[in-house]
Amino acid sequence: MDNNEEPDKQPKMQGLSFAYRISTELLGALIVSVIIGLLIDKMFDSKPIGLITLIILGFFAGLLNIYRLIRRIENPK
Amino acid sequence: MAKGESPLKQFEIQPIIDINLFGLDISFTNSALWMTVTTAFILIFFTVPFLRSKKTNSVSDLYPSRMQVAAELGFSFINSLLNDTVGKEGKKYFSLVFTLFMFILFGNLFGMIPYSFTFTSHIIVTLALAMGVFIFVTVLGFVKHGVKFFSFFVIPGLPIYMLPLLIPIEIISYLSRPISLSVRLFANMLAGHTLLKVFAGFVSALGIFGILPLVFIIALTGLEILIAFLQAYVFAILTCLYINDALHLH
Repeated sequence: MDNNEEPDKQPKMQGLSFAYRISTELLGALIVSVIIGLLIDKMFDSKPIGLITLIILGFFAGLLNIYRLIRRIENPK
Repeated sequence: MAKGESPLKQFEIQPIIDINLFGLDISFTNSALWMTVTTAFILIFFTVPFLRSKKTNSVSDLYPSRMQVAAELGFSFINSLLNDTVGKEGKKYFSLVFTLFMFILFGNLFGMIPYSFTFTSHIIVTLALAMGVFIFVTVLGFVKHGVKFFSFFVIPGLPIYMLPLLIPIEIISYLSRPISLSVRLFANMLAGHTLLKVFAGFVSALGIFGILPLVFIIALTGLEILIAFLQAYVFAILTCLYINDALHLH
């Protein structure tokens, strides 16, 4: 992200904003997958299997989010 | 902070005017009050300097007033943000990003005033904002691309046997956007304000040594103002990125 108006202010803030984003990406994916897992268990009456599968998938989804974020830091657009 | 008062008491919602409509409690609360104050302030902040500059008979037309510079700074900040992340097509969505940014920014900043109420420290408020962005972006993707929008969940160049595993992961990753967007803002505001109150409680409890937490609070207040700005910035930049994803799909 090249900004020719404020050359020195922009990168510093971006670094901080990335730091705040990484911490919640993993959490968000896990929360969503737990909710979906519990719903699946309720619908199909398959008590722990849906939750366990979805938590594993959610963990990978969170890692994927973080991977995409870091790729954007290394190579901004 | 009075003795025995919880540091979480500042987040309690108290009704100011009780309104009961058909069994629905829609009282005007302190949260609603501060939202109104924020909106009114933003309206004044962005209309008053430009009302003045419309007078054509004075020399002051040649240079902008201080308030006009401040308002234009906010405008150009979001404008360049949209230009960098979305590009030329981003101009259409300026009003959405700008409104969200200003509402969250001034909501956070007004929350820093002692005895005020920080409405962004409630998950229901931030989740409502994030869900608004999420629904808008999803509808935008469907309007722009139709059924092709579903190809967003397929990473190009992937072997076909990986798809059953990766499509659920992509869908969870997509659905996690509003959650992480809202939790980030809410958790930062909640944690920061609780920390401030906890350390404020130490000042009176420690007597003469209370000077140490007092110094710490001063530093922490500065940090909180930075976070208030930063969280609004993160919310705005993520809205831009999601719009970009919906417009361009990968």
